[in-house]
Parts: sequence; C-alpha cells; structure tokens
Amino acid sequence: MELNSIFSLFANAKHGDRRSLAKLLTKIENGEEIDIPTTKAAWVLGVTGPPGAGKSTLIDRLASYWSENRQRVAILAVDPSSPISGGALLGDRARMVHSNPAQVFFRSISARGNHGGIPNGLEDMIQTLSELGWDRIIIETVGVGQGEFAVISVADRILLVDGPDRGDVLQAEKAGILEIADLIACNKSDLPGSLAAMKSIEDGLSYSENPPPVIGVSSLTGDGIENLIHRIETMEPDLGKSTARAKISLECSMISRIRKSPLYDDVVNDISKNKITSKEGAERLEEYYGRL
Amino acid sequence: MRVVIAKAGLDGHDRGAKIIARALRDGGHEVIYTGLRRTPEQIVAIARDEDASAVGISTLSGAHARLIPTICELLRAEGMDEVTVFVGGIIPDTDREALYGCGVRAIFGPGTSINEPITFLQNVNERTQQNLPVGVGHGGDWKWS
Repeated sequence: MELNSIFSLFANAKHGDRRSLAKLLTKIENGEEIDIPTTKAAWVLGVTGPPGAGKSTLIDRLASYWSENRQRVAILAVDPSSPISGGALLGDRARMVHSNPAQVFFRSISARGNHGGIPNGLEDMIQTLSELGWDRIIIETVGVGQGEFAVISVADRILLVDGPDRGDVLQAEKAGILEIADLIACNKSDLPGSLAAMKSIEDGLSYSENPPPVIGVSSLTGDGIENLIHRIETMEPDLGKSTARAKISLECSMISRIRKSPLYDDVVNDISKNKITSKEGAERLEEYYGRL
Repeated sequence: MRVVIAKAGLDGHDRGAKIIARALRDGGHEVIYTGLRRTPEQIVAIARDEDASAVGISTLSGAHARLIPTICELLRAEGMDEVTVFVGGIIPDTDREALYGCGVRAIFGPGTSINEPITFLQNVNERTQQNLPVGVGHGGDWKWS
C-alpha cells in the first residue's frame, strides 16, 4: 500500500524518515495545501548577500558547528530560475562538505520565476520543518538588490554575508540591505583587503541609529565562526519586524499575490506584444483586485 | 524534473558535468549539482533529500565499474526504485552492458550532443506517464540508444 498522502508523509517524517520528508516538501512546493499544527515557533536564520561572498561555505560551517552540538539543522537554499526555460541550476549544495548529512538536512529550491516574491510554499516548508523538530532552519538566498530580499519575510534573524573581493563593497549599501540585517559577516578574512572591506561596511553604517555589528570571519579557515555563532545565538530576533522589514515583507507578499492572479499571464502577454504599456497592465491588475 | 548531477569518487573533471547541468537547466529542469568527490552514500542521500527523479553520474577516471553499481544498489536499498540513473563520461564499450545490467538507463559518452540528455529525460517522462519501467529498480531492459 502506497502511503503518499500528506498526512502519512508527515507522520513518517516525524519518525525520522528522510524520504517522506523530501516527498512532503515536494508536495508543498507544488502547491498542495497542508494543515500543519503550530506548536513550535520556528527558529529561522536568513542568510543573504551578493553572489560569491561565500554564503554557502559559511552556512556549511554554521551547520557543522550546530550539528556537532546536537542541534538539528535544516537548510533551504533558494536559487534563481531561468526566466526563459524555467529551469534552475541549484549549486549551493556543492559547498556542503563539513556538515554531516545525517544531522543536517539540505534542500535546494528554485525560485520558479518568483524573483522578488516568496517562493511558493516556503513558509509552509519552514513551519513543517519546525514542527518536525528541526532546531535551526537556515534560508539561503542571493541578494543582489531589492528583488531578492524575500528572505526577510520568512526569517526572524537576518545575516548578511559580504566580502572583500567584489570590487565595490558599496553595492550592498546601495541595495539598502545593510541596515536591515541583524548581523553582517564580512567573509574571507583570510584574504588581503578584508579589513578594508569591514571598515568600508562599518563606515557605510555609521550614520544609522542602530547599526548591525560587522564581524570578520573566514569560512575557509574557520576563523571567527564561533564568535559569529555566539552573536547569532544571543541576538534578539526581530519577531515584531521593524518598519523597514515590514515594508519589504509586504511588498514580497504583494508580488507573489500578483503573480497568482488569473489575469497575470494575459497582462504579461499584452505588454510583451506592445498592446498595452506596463502601467496600463498594472492598472488592469489593480482593477481586478478592486472588484474582488 | 528534479535531477541530481553527481561527481563520484576522486575524479576531478567537472567540465562535462557542469555543461550537462546547464543544458538540463536550459531544458527546463531543476538541477542539483553535488560538487566533487562525493561517495556513493552521499550521492544517494542527496537524491533522497532532494526528491530527485533522476540521477546523472559523471565519471572519467575509470572507477565506474565499482562506483556505479554501488550507487544503483544503494538507491534500491533506500526504496528509490523509481529514480532513473544515467551516466556520463568515459565508459569503454566493453563495460557498458554491465552498467545497463545494474539498472542504468543511458550512457552518454564523448561526442554526445547537448540535446540528447534532454530528449532522454523527455522520453523518461513520457514512459513514466504510461507506467513503463524507467527506474533503477524497475527491471526490464529499456535503455536509451
């Protein structure tokens, strides 16, 4: 008898069956509704930052440390999808070398076209993992501008990972995420220029009221990791969400909602064929919601 | 489909695997690349946790005769009979029958066009819809040619 219902998959996953957990997450990702009990508040760390900063490698270190300390760690790594083919190359998993797969659960998730919005089912996946007993849930996303900050909506602790070798540390400043993060890890402290990068980030924050601490780490050598973990563990989660985060969360939710509108594909089509402008397209969607 | 592209053993040649991974992405698939130097156990755990429908194993170092059958056995032991296994890299003709015998459904050697693995997976999809054997534990001798 094949027990493939969400209910039985959840029950099996609760008993530790990884395959059931994996299939359960697939169903959630594909839009199946799930009625999850909410007995536990999820502990969620969002890790974001520009590509190449070393997020995945750093997460490997964090997960390794926590799992050695008997914490069960689950990682959901979101990568962009191709706007043309819809496919995705999910390569974050390749960096997981130190952590023990028996203790650490890793799932690669394609944005599935949902850039700037929240990947379908992500919130349900997080709640499911939490209910199944995962102590630490890490969400990894690429942050290259306002578009990829959906992680802010689902995490109560935000870690920004930046580094010295991207040429222009000011990019992070421009994106505005510097002030929204709870902690900033300046990675690659083993490389020359890392101190200058740290200083540059700190200077960029010097006019904020409550700037996030900037911590130098090296995911390559492990330097500074324990300090970073201590900071993560002891910081106050932003459960209430500051105004800035509230705005971003709302906008991400709106974007996801708009994409689910039955008019969406037609409007996109009309814009692409030059029948209407994007402004007119937006008005059409607004009218639709107004009439609901 | 969710497809795992895996580099097994100590073989450090990843160019082919990455090209195939990108081609599959351009074909609309969600491709999980395992990175280098994965053991058979790790590859199976990855395929299991990612709920992959297919696993492509790349090997150019000559260790295929040992690694591939082990991966196939472990997949079956994990109850993952329905996962399609395909192989790429350097596999001498004389070794291919043995691999097919383990449940491998396609072998893509040098000279394979970018489109072939995509067409193969399309075929796998169609066969799955018709309940025809495609998995490493499904038996039968269907293979890509």
